[in-house]
Amino acid sequence: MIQKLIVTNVAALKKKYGAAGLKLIQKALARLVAADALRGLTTRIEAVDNPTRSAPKVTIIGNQRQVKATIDKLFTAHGSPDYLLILGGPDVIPHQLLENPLFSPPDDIDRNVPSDLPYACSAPFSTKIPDFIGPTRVVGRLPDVVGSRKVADLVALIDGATTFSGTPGKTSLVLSADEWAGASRANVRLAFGALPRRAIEMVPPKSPPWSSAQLAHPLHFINCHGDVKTPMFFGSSTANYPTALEASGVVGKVTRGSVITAECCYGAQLYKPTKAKPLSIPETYLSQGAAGFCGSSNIAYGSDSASGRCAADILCVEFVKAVLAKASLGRALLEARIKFIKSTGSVADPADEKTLGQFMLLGDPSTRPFGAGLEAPEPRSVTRGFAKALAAVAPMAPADHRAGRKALEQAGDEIARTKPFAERVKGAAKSTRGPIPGGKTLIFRVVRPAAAAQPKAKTRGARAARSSADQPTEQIQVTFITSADAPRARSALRGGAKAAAPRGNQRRIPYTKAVITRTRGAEVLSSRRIVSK
Amino acid sequence: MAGSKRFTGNVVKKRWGKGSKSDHMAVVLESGESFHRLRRVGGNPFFDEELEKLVGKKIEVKGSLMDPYTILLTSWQELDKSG
Repeated sequence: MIQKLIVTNVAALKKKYGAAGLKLIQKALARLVAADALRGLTTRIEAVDNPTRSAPKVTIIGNQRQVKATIDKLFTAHGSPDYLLILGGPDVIPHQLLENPLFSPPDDIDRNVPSDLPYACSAPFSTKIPDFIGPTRVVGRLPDVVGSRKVADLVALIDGATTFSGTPGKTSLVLSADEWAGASRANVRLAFGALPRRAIEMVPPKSPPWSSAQLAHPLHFINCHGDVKTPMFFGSSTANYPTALEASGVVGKVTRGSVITAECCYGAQLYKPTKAKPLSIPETYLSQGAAGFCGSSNIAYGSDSASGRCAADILCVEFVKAVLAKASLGRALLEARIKFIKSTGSVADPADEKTLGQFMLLGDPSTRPFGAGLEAPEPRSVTRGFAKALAAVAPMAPADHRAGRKALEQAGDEIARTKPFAERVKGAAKSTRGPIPGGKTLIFRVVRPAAAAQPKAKTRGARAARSSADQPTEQIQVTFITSADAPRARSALRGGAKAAAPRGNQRRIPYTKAVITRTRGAEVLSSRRIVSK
Repeated sequence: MAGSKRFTGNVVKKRWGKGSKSDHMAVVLESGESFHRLRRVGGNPFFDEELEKLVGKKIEVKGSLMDPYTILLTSWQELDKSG
């Protein structure tokens, strides 16, 4: 039985790096497998284009349906391993492009959500995020650069995972857009808990370059703006968006084994770099020795206030908390996903769905920044120093590990069976009805799955079909509020907040953003604000 | 630049990514029903003074699409009012 499954596409790697490059990758992977054995992990490498175990062959590199089916088959055939490592960027193993429930340009221009969430779920191929609302697998991606021909970069990434022996310390660098100070302060307090209180670099007034000492902190938490295919994050104040971090600014200053969490839009977007669009921030971090990067593939949501924390705020904080609690990086993301969905109240609304789909882990999911590996069966030859470093930390008993993992799987299954979710009503995108005056309003119906006691049905269609308890009058409305409508929206939302127990703080809307309201007929059941982070 | 195309339209300011972490007032090229946010190579994507100067003008731009709604500019020229 294996504990860790590595999946890649050999034909895609050969196409990028040639036969000689492929040999170097295979040697690097052999070193990783040997190192994993020292950590107590039996690791198996599978090529989706030439799989064992009677899994279907992937014949087209970018065919998401094929890749999902093959990985699912391999995962099951190998006994549902503890870790699934996707080796390669999206031009080796594609992201699964999921429908963005909030797509409504220019408010939300993302037609799809590039996602690795489906690989964390046993549900079959689908483009609907609610089909993957209950993840159960521990997944991460070690991405090579899209379009790259430099095999040494990928070999270095693999070797980084091979030689990882712990994240050196729990000190942190926290960057925040100034307008989100409230949310960032709460996020840091919740994420880092009892650790010594740390300063947050608010941008503006603070600005890069950050000192070598600051960048050397092994934990980075970033709550800033990001943009499409842009190797920079940005702060913000009124109509001012100064640079908060540049990829080039971290080169040579990242501590080996660092872990980075970014709430930013496009924080973990993987794209082909060019002169006009240099290498992304997450890939720069990884190339400099970071162990992992948790971020979003496209436009993300959150709050500007402590009381309104939502979406990216919650998921990212839960990721950091789990990492500090000695989880592996992949397990930390799985825990964060499950806790995030559980935190969303009675219904996962469209912003929740997008958040769940868009955040991913870039890094080896079995890497444990602050914890030990499993008990190793017997040491093999890697290096004496590496073996000594591993021996210095107390290993976890396999039985404890399996019990913990089983509990997570059950939690994911439970969510998949029971969590109500939002499904967009087509043709209602330009309606302006609803309790919140403003601009464009998107309308969603609430789909209630069958009771938990009923037989398991993971697909959205099956769950929806069984939803005899659906209340057709219950809706979710997402209203993108314009500046002119802000005062009226504020007033309307105050009324709604009195009528029902809302999530977060709806009593203060400082400026125009978007409001998500759940209604039944004329009654406002709950409402909350999501803001530009 | 690979995939470079020409676009013509009027430059306006438009709210972009409302309610998201990249919410901002963007400089947008509008032409009939279509609209594209403009970005300059090396420019700040959220506030670029050079692009702000184009607001209210009719222009032709050359650039590539970063996504279906964003043009990364390589050059632009103002068209006369008759043009």
